[in-house]
Amino acid sequence: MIDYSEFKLENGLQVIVSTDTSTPMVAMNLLYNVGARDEHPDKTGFAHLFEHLMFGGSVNIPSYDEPLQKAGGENNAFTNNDFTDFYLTIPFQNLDTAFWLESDRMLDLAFSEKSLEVQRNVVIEEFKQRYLNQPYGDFWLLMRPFVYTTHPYRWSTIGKDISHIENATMDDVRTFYKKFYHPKNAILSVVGNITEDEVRKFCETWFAPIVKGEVYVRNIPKEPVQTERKNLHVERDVPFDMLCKAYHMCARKDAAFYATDMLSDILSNGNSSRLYNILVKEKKLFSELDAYITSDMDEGLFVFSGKPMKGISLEQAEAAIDEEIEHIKNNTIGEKELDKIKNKLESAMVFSNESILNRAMKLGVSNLLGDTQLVNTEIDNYLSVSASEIQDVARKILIDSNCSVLYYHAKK
Amino acid sequence: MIDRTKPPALNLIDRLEIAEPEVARLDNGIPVYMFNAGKQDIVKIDMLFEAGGRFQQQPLVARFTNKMLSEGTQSYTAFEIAEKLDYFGAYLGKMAYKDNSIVSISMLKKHLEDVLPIVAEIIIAPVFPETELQTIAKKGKQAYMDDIRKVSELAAMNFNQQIFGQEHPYGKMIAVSDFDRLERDSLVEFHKQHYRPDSCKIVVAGKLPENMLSLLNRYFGKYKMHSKNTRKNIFPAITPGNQKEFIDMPKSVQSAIRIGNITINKTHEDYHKLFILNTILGGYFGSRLMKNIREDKGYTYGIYSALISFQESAAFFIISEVGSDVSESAVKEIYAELRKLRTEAISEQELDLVKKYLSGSILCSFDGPFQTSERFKSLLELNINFKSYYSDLVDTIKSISPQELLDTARNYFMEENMFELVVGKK
Repeated sequence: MIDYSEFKLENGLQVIVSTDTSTPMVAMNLLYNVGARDEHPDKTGFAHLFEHLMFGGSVNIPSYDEPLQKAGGENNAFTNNDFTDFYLTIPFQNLDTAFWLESDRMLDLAFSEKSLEVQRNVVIEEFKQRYLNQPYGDFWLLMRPFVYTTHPYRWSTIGKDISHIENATMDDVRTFYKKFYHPKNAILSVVGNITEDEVRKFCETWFAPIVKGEVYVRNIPKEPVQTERKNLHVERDVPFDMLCKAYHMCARKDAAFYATDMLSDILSNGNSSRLYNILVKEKKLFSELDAYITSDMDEGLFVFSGKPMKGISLEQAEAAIDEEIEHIKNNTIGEKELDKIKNKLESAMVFSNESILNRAMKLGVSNLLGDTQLVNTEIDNYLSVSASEIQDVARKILIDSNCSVLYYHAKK
Repeated sequence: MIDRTKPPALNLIDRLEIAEPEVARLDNGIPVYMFNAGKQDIVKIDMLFEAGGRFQQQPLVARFTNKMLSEGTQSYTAFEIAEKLDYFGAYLGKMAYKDNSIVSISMLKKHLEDVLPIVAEIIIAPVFPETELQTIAKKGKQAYMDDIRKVSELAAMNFNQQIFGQEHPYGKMIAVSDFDRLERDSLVEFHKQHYRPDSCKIVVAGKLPENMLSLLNRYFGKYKMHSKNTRKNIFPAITPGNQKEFIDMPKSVQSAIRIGNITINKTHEDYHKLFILNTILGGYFGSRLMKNIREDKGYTYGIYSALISFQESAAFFIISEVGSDVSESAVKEIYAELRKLRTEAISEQELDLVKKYLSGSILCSFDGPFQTSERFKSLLELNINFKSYYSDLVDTIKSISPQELLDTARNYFMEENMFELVVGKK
């Protein structure tokens, strides 16, 4: 159970506070409601490039990192398809510094040519390191445009193409900032050795004077229902074949989300899960195999991905996964197996609440979902799911016409 | 209107309160260290065994003995173990390092008594089934074959061999064929020799029940070893390879760089100074390597330097993946940064920043019982006194001068002692 309070500044900034006096630290999470899905199809990778530029100095402060390090703080950030998240931890005595830094880069950035040029290079090297220079590294770069035809989930956060980053201009960057980086489009959560009153005071000083930006109305094309199975064969210089089957699933806020998440747990969470036990250990068909959901805000994916053992063809591997899918569709899930998944979820929740930073992030994301209280009630949504609801999801989404299969062949 | 160009006043973080563990012994002599604190009802138990790679006669034996502990015991099959642990929402971790191997278990406090009997079986009565070994070894082999296609992994493996030599337990590289040579008997024997009460230490953290010690005693305090401890401590001489090595990966778009050498470990009196020097060089986001090679030149997504302590030695290395076309320039810049540390005194301003950053990050690394026990565990592995280590570190951070840092760089960062490895496109 996380106790918290929340309030909104006049300029629209949403603030959430949770006090924990057992720690000498405070965690601060600032979530901007902008992700790769908000990008223009010809200028992809911008949300992520922008995350990098947020460290290039703001209007009144030449360097973000140095003053924070001097205050004994640590920070980082990440971008996904749905939102961009900046987070830090700092000794509670120096929280003022964190508010000063975060508010200044919400007020305005320095926008130096040098910073843009260097961060373009850094992001290009990140692109190479993560996606090009690893065996199977281009997997999501291939999957997204193959599975999605319309929704901007069809590109990765790093961008569709390196050229979009290479060609990013200062004008592009300024426009992006103005549109998304303002109080109305942000959620601030603060967790740790600090009271609500203190946070209110800091907010009044540092964030309240920032002018309200224009409300951004998200207008994203919906992905049409897939009506036919799709296959894609590629060949790469990798040691082993890989198979990936992706099915469209519901959005994060949909009531069926919890049952869908649990379906992936039954199949693939833990060493006693079905896929690991039957296909990896018993039948020895895969060296690794996972089923998981992407947990995206809009309609996301239910993914099976695995590498067959040497000597097992991709077709044999796929048939074995299909057999497990048919099994769960046609046989009732036992009570013990369902309890096991629920126990695991409960335990995972307690573990994830251990760190103040995790709590701050979860509060921010829950608010983004539309109800901060979800941070405490979401577990009940899981615990009330029945075996038949999980089975219904399997019957509804794990069907051939909803499936896209990537056959990733190792070059002989 | 507030003046945003003026930074808020800073409070100095100069106090570090470190919780010390409660120490006890089980009936069979296993020492137990308990950190009883925290808000969540979670318990984490780490069991350290002197069962790392340095004790094995054949590559991979330590790793697979550790991996296979939960793949079948006298009373339970691999599936039954996995199912029970999953049912109680417990997390089992197993890791084999160079010196020690670790088995750790985290669970909700309410499930302690359900989970401990299973862990006891895993530690005391594993049977290493032949069929499970075949499966796990094959899986491991495929994962290894993927790994050696990554420039960073290949660099990590080869670099240890380069500085310690192929005959040395800290340097020995595994080969694909080692996976085929694994035999059940070697694992059984390794377990018998190394997972014994007289080579075990237990660290516990979390919101502990009152009967924690008696529970540990019930499950881990009774077992004994009948055989004599015949553990061999094999330490051949260090036979380093060439000082500069290049491994050709013609299709790669980035090169992995490693530059470093054998150095002092945490037990050495100069260690804290070297630790601070390493922080300045590449130990945090604002480090000189990051500033120069990422934030000024844009050659890389990241560059770091690290100090890794072993019981009998230590390694220092700089690590990065850079664009193939700038690999030579990056190497040059790395040597230039090392030279700067040896020849130019650090400015008061930079030193002040690093001192403050370190004070905060150390404070943060003791936030809660689990963080604290992690710090404790890494010193326990080297048999270093916890409290005095950190009070010395805090004192050194306060007192260290630019001159001492220069001296330290001249002692430990000499270019002629550095080994260099580049994996990538020529």
